[in-house]
Amino acid sequence: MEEDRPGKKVARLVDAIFFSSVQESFIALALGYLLSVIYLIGDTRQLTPLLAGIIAGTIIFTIVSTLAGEFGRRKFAGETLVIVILLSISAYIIADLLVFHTGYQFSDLFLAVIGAMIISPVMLVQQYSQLIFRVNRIASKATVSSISSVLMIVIIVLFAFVYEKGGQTMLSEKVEVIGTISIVLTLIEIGIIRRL
Amino acid sequence: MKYLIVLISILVILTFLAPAVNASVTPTTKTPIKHVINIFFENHTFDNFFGIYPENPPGNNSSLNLNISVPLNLLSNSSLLSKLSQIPPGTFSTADPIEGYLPYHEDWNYGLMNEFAAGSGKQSMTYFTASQVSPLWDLAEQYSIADNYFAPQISESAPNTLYYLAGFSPVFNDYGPPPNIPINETIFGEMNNYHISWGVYVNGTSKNFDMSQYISGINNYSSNINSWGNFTQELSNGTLPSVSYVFSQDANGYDMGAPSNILKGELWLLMLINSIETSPIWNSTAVFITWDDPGGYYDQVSPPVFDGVQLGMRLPLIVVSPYAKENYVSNTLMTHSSILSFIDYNWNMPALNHFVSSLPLPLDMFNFNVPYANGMIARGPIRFNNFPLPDSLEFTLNSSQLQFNYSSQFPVTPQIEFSSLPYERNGSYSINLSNLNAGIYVRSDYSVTPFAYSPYAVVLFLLIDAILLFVLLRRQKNGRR
Repeated sequence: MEEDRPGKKVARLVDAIFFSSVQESFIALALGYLLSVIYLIGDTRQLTPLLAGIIAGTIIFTIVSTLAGEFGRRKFAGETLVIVILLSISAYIIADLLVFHTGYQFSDLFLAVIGAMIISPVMLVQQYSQLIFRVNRIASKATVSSISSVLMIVIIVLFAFVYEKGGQTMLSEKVEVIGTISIVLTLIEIGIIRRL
Repeated sequence: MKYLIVLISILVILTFLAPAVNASVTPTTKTPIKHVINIFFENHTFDNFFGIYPENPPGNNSSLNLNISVPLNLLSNSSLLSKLSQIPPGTFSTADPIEGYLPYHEDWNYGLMNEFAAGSGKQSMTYFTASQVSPLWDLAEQYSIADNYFAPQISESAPNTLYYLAGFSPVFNDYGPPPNIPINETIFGEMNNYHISWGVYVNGTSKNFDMSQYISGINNYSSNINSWGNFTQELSNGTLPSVSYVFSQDANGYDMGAPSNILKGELWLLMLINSIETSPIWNSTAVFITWDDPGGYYDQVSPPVFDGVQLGMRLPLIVVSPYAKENYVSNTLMTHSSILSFIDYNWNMPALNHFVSSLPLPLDMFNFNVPYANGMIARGPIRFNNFPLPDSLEFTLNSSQLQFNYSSQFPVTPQIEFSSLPYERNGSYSINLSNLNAGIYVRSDYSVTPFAYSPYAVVLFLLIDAILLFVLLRRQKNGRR
């Protein structure tokens, strides 16, 4: 494969960061919405444990994703992706079972744990976007994953702020706005690749 | 003779027709109540306001205090009382307890009622005394109070207020809309159908009625939603609709919700009560005063499950009316939707829905039949003019109002001596609209969520995104080749 020029490489990394942070935010908010826990994000008191869980989950799953990606690059990429998918789905199903088993009656700590688990698909998105944008080196992977994760948290906090200020109404509409942005981004990327 | 028979026949027919014509114009009522006024505040439990009622000062009682009916409160459990802090005289607010679906459930702790400090914070473990709430205590002493009245849900304002207006809620916490409730499923829709006049009164214009967002179709009735000023004007004109909802909720602290100064809401309430008592409709009015949700404050009673619905914490309900029993404590199991059952009962309507039909009617709080010693059944108005009342319903608390000795205003001399009351001063009632075969207006409640705002739409977005990501990866791989 032809090596990228440094400028082009940086642009590709920025692309990867922007792309994956929007995708991660959409998927985290959409899955949180489907579990109904994201309704709690509009209340400033419940936002704290939920956000604490989201931040903890982001850190954990970003590290796992980066290590898994590196391991996969060296050993068996396909199997690693399958493991990441299974891990993401398992964590999400556990969160789902916890929420519905308890009938939404849980402590702040419990909410934080669920917040962390709904972030598990972040791993998958990070793996995917690194494959798409050809982020190969461990240092680049760690940088892209970390910055996109921080941006994702910023987007979620902004989302919570807008939701709270708007009187906690039209939640799905707000999730769908981020969904539309992520779909448009993907379409743009498909267009870019087609031109290559 | 022939003409006489024709004349008598016409008279007989007219006699039968007259009530029917009259009924279609002015709906008849089962009781002397022709006007129901609902006044709604925010965020206090029963024990928070009436925890040591009627002890004043705490721990020291006059003979009158000792004679007042005592509800189920902290006075019957000294170990519980010792765990709570008394709000000192001169202080009319607390830090806002932590509110929310999760904190309230933590407070509740599956009915053990022992995690308030962990859930809503230590500020939840407090109670007010006559130094702050003597206006409320005076109303309870002169009229009726319920000590078995619960929030419909262990949650915040939105679901509880929807139970107050519609007898069900499609949301479990303060979020939405969507979903929306069609107006036909609310008490407003039912009253429209039965030609019962109604009005909603808020501070400002109809846009300030928060709950209207949830009720689809209510915009067609914006003329029914007016300001507090309209309320007092219609009251003094005697043109108030049959059923009124007065919402104290606004941004200026009339609603008593922490961290607001509760005195503002109390003086506002007394202004309203004075206006009602001196209005031309007093003799046919019942006022239901309650709070929307617990606000995170402690209450000792584990809320029951009723008709499959886990009720929330205990709230105060005060009924003010010339027919309200004096110094009466009702033990009837009630919730916000019980007021709907009274409206349905009074105006001969079917129960709004199954939940409303199952709730015991709050009829034990009234005396519609037994005359007092003076031969009257309706009691005269009581004006609460000893308090430093403001000049209008919109006001700012001044120093004389804040420094007033509220404790000195409780207890008050009862309008009728307790010993001569023709009824017991506590009791309960178990008959509901279902027992009375009243029928059900809304057989099956449903809410409306447009597809674009539903979970299905979010799933669709996820699927589209996943497919496009897959396409993108495939194209990228092909590009690399």
